[in-house]
Amino acid sequence: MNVIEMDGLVREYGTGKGVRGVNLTVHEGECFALLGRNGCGKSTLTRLIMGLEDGYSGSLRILGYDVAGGSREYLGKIGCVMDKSIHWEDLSGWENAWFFAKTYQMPEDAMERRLKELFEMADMMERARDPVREYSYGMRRKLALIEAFCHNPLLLVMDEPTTGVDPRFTGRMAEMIRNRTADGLSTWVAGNDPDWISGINTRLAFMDSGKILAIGTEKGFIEELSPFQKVRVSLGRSVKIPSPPQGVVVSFDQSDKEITIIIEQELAFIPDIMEWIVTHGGEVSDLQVRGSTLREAFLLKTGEMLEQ
Amino acid sequence: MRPGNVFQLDTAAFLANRRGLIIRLGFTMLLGLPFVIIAMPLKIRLSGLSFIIIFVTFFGAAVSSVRRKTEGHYERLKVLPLPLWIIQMDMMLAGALVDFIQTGFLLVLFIAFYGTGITFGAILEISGLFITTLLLFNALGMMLACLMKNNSEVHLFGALGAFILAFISGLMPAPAVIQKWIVIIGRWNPLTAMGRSLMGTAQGQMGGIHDAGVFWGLMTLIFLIIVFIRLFEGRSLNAFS
Repeated sequence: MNVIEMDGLVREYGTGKGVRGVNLTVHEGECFALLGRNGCGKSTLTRLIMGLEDGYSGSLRILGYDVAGGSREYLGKIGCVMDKSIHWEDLSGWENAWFFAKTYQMPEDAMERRLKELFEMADMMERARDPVREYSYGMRRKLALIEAFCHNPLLLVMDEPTTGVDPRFTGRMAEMIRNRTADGLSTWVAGNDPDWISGINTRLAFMDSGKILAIGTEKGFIEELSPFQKVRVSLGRSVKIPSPPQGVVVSFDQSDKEITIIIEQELAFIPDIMEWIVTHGGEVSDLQVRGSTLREAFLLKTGEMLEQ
Repeated sequence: MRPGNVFQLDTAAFLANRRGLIIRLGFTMLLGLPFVIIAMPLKIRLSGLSFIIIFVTFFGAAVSSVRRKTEGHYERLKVLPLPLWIIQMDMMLAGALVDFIQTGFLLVLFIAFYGTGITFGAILEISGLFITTLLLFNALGMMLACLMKNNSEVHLFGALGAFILAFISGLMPAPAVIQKWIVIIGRWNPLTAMGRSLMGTAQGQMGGIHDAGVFWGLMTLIFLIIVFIRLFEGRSLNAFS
């Protein structure tokens, strides 16, 4: 079964921004990530899934329900993390989370256990009875995630979930998402943090200017889009090194004693580059070679789009 | 308190904000008490109290609904598996309950000070009209908020709307040509009817239970039953922290 089916989905705003013809399918038990720059239409697409946008054309089915037909039944089976963390500020975090769990019709004893588990996972148990107005930005974000996770939804829909959240919690969240996928539950993540998305084992798509540029896997994108190696050289003292002649070297950036070189995947050229540096008076104190990451694939892909 | 529905959530949020509670009650008292305790003609006294009710209910509902919308609370509720009419109804009931606390005290004081020959029928009638006014004006305020985009718009149009409501409720002098329309509208306006009943109470002209009293008494009962259900729905003894 497909949990999300979009066919020719268009939701444009007066400024020409928004979603401009998206065809996409997310399967049951799959984690799907949508990556793109700010303002590329990710949030609009995510809001469409949450049923928050009117005035669109095309077909949108969530968990088999026709959203365009006004169905709200699917909302009980999904959990939503919106781009903003909205809470009732004078109530405690626990009271806020309780309301959401109750609305999802969880049995009270299960709610108590589940919320306790999630608050502890977020390192927020000690602050659970404090009013939300006393929470930091990151704590509010964590609370929004607790509210979305509490009923273990069939489909979890998240917009920029890691913004402002500490790495300890994002690591735990990644683990929870991997466990969800292993349990056959589906997750939709929209964001612009490729490093985190890289850790949640997901199929993903790049989006720009309201359109899907490409859909695939992290491995596939790295191979396809970013066949480069990054070489980082630390110099013992500050010497200006000129750029080597163009060839396998794609870019050569120097910042004081640090040089970042991107080469095509021909590691055999590294000794030549080292020789070039030494010849021009550089003392190499450290050398790191790293393969491409999703981050580079993201930058390259959205960069390509910009040039076009 | 652990809220289990939107009514409980809104009511709990209102009660949890002690400062806001004191300011709202204090502000209403500050504006309303002069119309109860200072000597003035009965008609002006009632007009003042009625205007405070319009301001607190209609204007208050419009402003708080726009705030909910701009701060994202309404959207946060919209992604929950709740029918939209339940969300709206709970918000309206919570607003009416808060307004009841805010303005009801003034009416009680008015009746205590000036009511003569108070009957059970008069209390039923006034309370029913009062509750209907609160619900109607809250609903109107929420409807206005649907059309407004931000705070400045709602303040402008809310003030204008409050003025129009005060005008058609007969709280301000009007030319004779408009007066007959105000009388016609007044037949369907619970605030105007409540003003008449309060006037009758102060002049000792309210009799025993009659048809209107029974009808408005039923309205009170229905409101109380719905509030009771929404207040205790989904609660169990361990649902209170």
